Amino acid sequence: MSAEKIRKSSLIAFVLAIVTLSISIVIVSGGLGILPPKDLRELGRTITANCFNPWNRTLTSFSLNAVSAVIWDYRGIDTIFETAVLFAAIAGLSMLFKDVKGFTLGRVGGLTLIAKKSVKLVILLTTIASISIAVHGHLTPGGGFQGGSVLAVITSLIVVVYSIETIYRSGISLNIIMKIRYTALLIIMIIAIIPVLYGLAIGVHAYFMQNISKDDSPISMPTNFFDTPLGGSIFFFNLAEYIAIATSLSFVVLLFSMRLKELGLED
Amino acid sequence: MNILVLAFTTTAIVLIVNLVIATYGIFTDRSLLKKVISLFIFSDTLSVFAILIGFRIPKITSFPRQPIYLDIPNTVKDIEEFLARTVDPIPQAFIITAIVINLAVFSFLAGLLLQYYKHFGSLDVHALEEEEVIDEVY
Repeated sequence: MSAEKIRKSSLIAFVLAIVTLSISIVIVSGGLGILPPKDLRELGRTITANCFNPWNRTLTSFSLNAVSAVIWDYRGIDTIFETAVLFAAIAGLSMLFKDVKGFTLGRVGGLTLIAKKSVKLVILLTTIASISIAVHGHLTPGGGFQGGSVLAVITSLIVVVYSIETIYRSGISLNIIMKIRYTALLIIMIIAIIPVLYGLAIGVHAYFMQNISKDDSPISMPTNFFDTPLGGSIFFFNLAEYIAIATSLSFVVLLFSMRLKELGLED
Repeated sequence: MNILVLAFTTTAIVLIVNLVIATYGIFTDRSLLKKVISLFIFSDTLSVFAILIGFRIPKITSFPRQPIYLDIPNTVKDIEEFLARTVDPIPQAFIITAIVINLAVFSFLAGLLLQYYKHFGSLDVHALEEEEVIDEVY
């Protein structure tokens, strides 16, 4: 490293140290407000009080998990756009690697028999856990994204312990994964416009992504499954998001575990 | 000073130090891969910081609870008791959105890095400049 560069990096380090010191002083002296606060902030209070509130039927979402209620009900459009960003990123990634030569079936490698047999059990348990996380997203900690990430772990586990050939031999390819993903995104959009279409059909006013009936709109998604709260559309959104995220992450994992030659990066 | 407040402040300051070290990495490291890793640390630290801001110390207990009902509330009083103990759910909901977007951005960046490596044979930031200089000489 030249003398000029060393001087430059020490200048950057000095400036950053001053930044650290000043922000720390601000936090300790209460410049960001009293931290940690004793009361809930007003917006958080409104949402927490209404996420499961049968006594206020126009503002509630019948979800025991307040975070899921924020994600898919109170700020649902945010999440739709977030899913769109993920969609765009994966679409861009598949454009970057449009020269993928396709997969060459090689020798089936992988780890030892002991690892393979025990991983089979782990895969079963992880799948069950991921489905449980996604399906109970409105009742317990979790949701579609969390469940989908857990399911994508299985893909990387198979790639490491068995080999990428195993996945291709079982008939799963990047194209099929993308098709499943498009279907899941389509399901999300359909669930979002069901209230509007239903309202048009029976001649009442309804909103995009409407969950529970509002003051000026009687349309409501199912609130209970027998005696279990269903959270209206939150349950269905979580299921569709589960599939969308699991397939997106699996796509990334499978793409980056291909050999350089197959990706078209090496002649 | 309450021990919980002290722990909170220490964590916040440690997170800021982490943030600044990540910024230093983004500015000064020559390797693009290390820059991306620094950026990842930066965004994850910000996520933890946002969740920390949602933390609170309730008046009635010393430790707050997660913003999830353990049972279906039967009376209005149950909801009031829940409100008295729970932390703020909004930072958590925002951060799960931010994590998904970070993931999207970083998987795309990783793809870009692979393509960069294909073209220049190195992940050095100055690989591009050196290529141009060679062009001028010949």
